[in-house]
Amino acid sequence: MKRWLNSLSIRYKLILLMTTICLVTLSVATSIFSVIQITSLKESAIDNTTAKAALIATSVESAILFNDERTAENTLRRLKNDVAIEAAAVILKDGIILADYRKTNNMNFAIPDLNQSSNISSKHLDVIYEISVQSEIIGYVYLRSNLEKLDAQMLSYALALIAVLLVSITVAYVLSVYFQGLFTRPIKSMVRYIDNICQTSDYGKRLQLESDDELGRLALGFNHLLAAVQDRESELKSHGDKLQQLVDIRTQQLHYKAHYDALTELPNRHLLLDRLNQAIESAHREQKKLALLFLDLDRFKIINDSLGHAVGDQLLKSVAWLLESIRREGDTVARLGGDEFVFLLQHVEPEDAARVAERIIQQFSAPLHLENHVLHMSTSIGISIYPDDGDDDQALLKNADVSMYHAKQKGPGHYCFYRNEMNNASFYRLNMENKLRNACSANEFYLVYQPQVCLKSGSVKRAEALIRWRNPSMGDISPAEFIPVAEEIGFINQIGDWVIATACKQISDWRSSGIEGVVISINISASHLMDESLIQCIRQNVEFYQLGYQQIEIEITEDVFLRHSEHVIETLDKIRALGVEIAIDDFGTGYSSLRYLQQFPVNTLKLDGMFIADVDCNSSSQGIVSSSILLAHSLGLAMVAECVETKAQLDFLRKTGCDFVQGYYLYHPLSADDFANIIKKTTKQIAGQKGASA
Amino acid sequence: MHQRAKLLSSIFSMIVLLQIVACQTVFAKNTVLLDEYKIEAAYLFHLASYVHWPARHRAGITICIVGNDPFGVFLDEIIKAKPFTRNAVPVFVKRLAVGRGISRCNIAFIDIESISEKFWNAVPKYHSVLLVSNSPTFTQRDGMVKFYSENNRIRIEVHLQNVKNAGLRISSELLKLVKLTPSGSAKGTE
Repeated sequence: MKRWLNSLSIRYKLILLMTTICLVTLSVATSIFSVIQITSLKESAIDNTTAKAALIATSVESAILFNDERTAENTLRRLKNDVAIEAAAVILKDGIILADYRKTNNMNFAIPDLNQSSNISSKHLDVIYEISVQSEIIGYVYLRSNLEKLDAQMLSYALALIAVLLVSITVAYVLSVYFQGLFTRPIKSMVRYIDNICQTSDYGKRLQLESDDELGRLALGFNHLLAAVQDRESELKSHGDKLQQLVDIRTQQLHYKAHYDALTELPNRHLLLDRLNQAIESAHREQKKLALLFLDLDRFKIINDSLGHAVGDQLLKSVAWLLESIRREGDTVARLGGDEFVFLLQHVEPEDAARVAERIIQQFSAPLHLENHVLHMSTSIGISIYPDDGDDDQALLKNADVSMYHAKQKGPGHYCFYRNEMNNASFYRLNMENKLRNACSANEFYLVYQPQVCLKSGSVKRAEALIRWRNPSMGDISPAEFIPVAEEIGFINQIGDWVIATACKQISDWRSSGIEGVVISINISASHLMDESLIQCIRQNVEFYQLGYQQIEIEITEDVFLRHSEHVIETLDKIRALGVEIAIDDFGTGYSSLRYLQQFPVNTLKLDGMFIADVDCNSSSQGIVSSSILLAHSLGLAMVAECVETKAQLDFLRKTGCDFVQGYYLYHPLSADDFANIIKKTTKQIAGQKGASA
Repeated sequence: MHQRAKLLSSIFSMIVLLQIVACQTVFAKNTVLLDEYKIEAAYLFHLASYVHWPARHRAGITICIVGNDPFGVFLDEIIKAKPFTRNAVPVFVKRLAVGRGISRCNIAFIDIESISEKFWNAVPKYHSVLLVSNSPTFTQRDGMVKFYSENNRIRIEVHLQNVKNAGLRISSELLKLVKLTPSGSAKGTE
């Protein structure tokens, strides 16, 4: 009900209000008048009947006095003309009926209570009228009147009242419909006007309502409000325009950012794909070919890591500029991210693509001059041709990428066309990359330990920790396979951290089982050595497992010295200062400068296996090995010979005074338990020999 | 002296005895006539309310019992209880001998036993006096109102011409109740 009332418009509310007030007021008034009228009608009926009784009383007075019942009866009989009177009687004061009259013969009536002058029931009105002479009651007239006339009067009165009520309500309704207009018309006009203003947002309009009442004041207030809104609107509009300009500029900027690489300002992957798809459609229409050249800078990661990101960014910009200078009109050079670039050549044959690839490689042959550096860069290029190597953008990009990897395998500065058989290999590699990233958390790595035997004492207390990877689906994967991949995808440092932690834990476990003083050498990659966190990692693990720093030896390759810098020396000094030993792995194969042996805080040299392999038959190898050992000893360094596989090799090494040997002739890489057993066994043997010699 | 006293005493005793006998006789007679005369007395009283006399009589209505009084104390008791007519005029009772002072009465009741020729002869002098009687032939001469018995009820007969001749007027209300003496009835002798 209240919801319905609220939903009504003011117009209907007013009509309802006025009509309701009229209805209630009239109902109350008619009720009061009805009561008064009914009372009045009853009194009138009583008076009327009483008057008749009085007349009769006068007529029969003498009859009573002179005891003349006949005259009394005659008098009463005259009442038959009166339809209202149903019975009458003249009663003497002692209650004896002198004369009576009944309209119908079969009607009976009892002598009423003479003390009650009138009594009105639902059907009859009984009136007793005293007949007195000189204030002495000599008798009574009794009249019984029916109420037909009263009922008829009341009925007609009720009908009249209802008619009046209906007419009044109708009049009230009509008047309220008319008068509500006085209130609602201006309001409706205002509402219409406001609706119009809201719809058109034209705040320059003003309400035209000239009246001095509240509505006039409301209109005035609303006009003030409109003026304020108009001002505000114009302010907002100008502000909005400025904002829109800004938004347009930002949109352009965003569009640029979305389609162009911020660093090199070359089109990004998104725009490349757009253009590639357009080029594919065009080539398809014109039955022509297109080529996608996928470029990846060789050794970019190392440069980035060693020289810093700022130099890396400069390098990328220079490369972009270089590629842009080669680009023909209509071709696209884009940067996909990192050090990957794509060259899109339209309307070309494979031989044109090859020519462009060669030209790019040739351009890279000249050194790049950056601010403080001169860098010799090269790039590997993979080429896919539409429609031969794929008919959509993804296939072409993927295949160009795959062929780029093959180009990389040829060595720096090569290009390679895509061939179908490449895809299996590249899929394998992609799969490996993905699995490698999860290998640590999936606990798929494990360490094996290749013992290093001290030739002087015959004791086995040292070993090289070698990482192994066993994947549930790919099986055992050789470190020679996954380590380069890990280096490329930037995962090698995490693997290095894992090896350090695992080796330290193992040393601790061995100590717990009573094997003390084991030294484990761990291979550290060049990029890991550059990582600030390496020292932190070593320190944390050694301290956590409460080991001696001398129980850890790190093996670095000569590559490190290719990119040597102050930073490398600083790091190695810090590591050495902790007490950790440093060995140079694959000694003799890399950067052949002896100066670093003087500069760097090295403890051990590990002679590369290639010199050992033919030491028993090749005199030059013999010379290198013996002089290397001599060199090491003269620098105060220990010498470890790797890949010892025959007795003759071992004998030669023993003869030339090599300190430690490792290789399959002595021990294959062992599990931790097996290595522990070897340690125990050899310790026991040495103790036995000492005991025997003593 | 003593004998004389005895004689006087005897005479007195006899007188008392005679009076007692006489009273008892009267009383017996009154008892017999009680209802009839009582009604007539009441009628006589009520007549005063329904007859209009000339203006000079309005100071009071005198009801005269001429000659024999058949009502005894009843009429007096009625008037004692209701000393006024309907029109608030006082009512008095007088008892007169036949032929004396009737002219000063308003209503003169003459019992059948007291009617004589002497009375009739004096009637023409009684102007404005309503003459009432219980004589059956009263209205056949110059009488005006007659009480008579019919079906064990006392009724009234009025000789309207005689009434008019006397300068009186009878209320129509009363006339509704009474029997009128047919006009032209010959005056007889009592």
